[in-house]
Amino acid sequence: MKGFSDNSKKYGYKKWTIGSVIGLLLLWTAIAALYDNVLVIPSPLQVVANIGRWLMEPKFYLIVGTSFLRAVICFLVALLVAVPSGIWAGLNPRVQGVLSPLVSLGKSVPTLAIIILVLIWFSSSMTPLVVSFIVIWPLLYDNVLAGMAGTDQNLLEMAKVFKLPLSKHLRHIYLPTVAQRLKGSVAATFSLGVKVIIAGEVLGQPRIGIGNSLQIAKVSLDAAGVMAWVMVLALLVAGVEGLLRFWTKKNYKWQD
Amino acid sequence: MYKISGIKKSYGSLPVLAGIDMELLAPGINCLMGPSGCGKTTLLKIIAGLLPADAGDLGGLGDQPLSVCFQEDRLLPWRTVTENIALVLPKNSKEKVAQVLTDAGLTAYANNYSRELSGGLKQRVNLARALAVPAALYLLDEPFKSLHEEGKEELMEWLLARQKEQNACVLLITHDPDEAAFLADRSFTLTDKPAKVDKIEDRRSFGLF
Repeated sequence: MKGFSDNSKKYGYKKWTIGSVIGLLLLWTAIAALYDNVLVIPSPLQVVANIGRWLMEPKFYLIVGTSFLRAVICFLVALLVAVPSGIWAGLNPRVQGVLSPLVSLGKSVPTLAIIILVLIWFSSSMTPLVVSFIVIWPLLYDNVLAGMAGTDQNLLEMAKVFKLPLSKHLRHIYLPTVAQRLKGSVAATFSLGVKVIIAGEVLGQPRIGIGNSLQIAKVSLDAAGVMAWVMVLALLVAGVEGLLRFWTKKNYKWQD
Repeated sequence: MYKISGIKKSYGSLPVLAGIDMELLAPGINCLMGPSGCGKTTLLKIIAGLLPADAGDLGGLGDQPLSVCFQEDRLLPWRTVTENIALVLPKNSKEKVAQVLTDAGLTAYANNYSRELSGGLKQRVNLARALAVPAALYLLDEPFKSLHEEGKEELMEWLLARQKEQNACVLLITHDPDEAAFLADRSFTLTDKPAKVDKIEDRRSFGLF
């Protein structure tokens, strides 16, 4: 990581990112101007104007807040299940054997098929939560398991000779090892969770949610509305990623 | 006195220990010397219960409460110096940890993480952690390896004091004959692979006393 951050500074990573965003916006503006049909490709300004209008409406915050809360709850529940189950599986191959078919199912079955099945079994407001859990738990679990497999054997030998109890093994060796592994994938898993929540909302149609609003915009042929919601989602995920990066930096002083 | 007899160990078809017989002085400091890679650490790991021996008897040595100073520091990188030492002690050992930090000359580094320490300081923490634990047997694998002469002497004095205080048996691996001459009540020299005990010297034969 240190090498990357050094190089990113040296080669002006941020400048290139900003340049790329400006380039994409210019390309989008050019295509929108060429096509000249707001029902198909609205310009970035029209999309931003849409968001600006929404910012004045309290309902916008309710919609975004509800979807965001669903994503956070689902992520936390998946994390709270993945960490102990992954650690247990890492310590006991039998548990790993029992969980492996569930993990394989979660990873291989298409999200759409899961949504359809879950819609049959759960209410529309529960669907996004359940689907997101089914999709992201296996990913988090796999990461925890990989962290367990990569535990420093030298530290485990040290713990053995000093006869450290299981509680100290967990608190001082396994959890920090697993957390280190997870911190690299938390942002990506959270954004995947958001995508799945939105897909679940589009198909499940709960009363409130970004997915719901996306669907309404789509049936109203409001391309500017659809793109505005996409932009809101992108900003939301980028904000969470930024927060996670800040948190990691603050809590991993021992690294660099 | 602990009597180790006939300890054998092979890694696959490569014999490493070819029947080690040793009588360790207890209480006392026993130094183990020999060429690099001859199997000294393997023997220490067998005594610590980290490796099984192919044959032989540890004479009850393995059942003693023991503490180990590994050749590599094996510190938790995500814990500070204080936390690394507190880790091996029972809860509410704040005073004890503070005492160990003082004895090992580590008070100034109490809140540093291992990546912030030099090799010598890491080794100092490693030894401090081992000596912090009350034990009947201390297994120390080149504990003074990367230390400066000045600090080394101070730590050797601490080891001597700690050994006397605990009335413990110490088995210390070293390559440094001066270290052995300063510390050892008895010293063993192993032959090259497969290792056997080649030479045993007691303190009086060093000609110091």
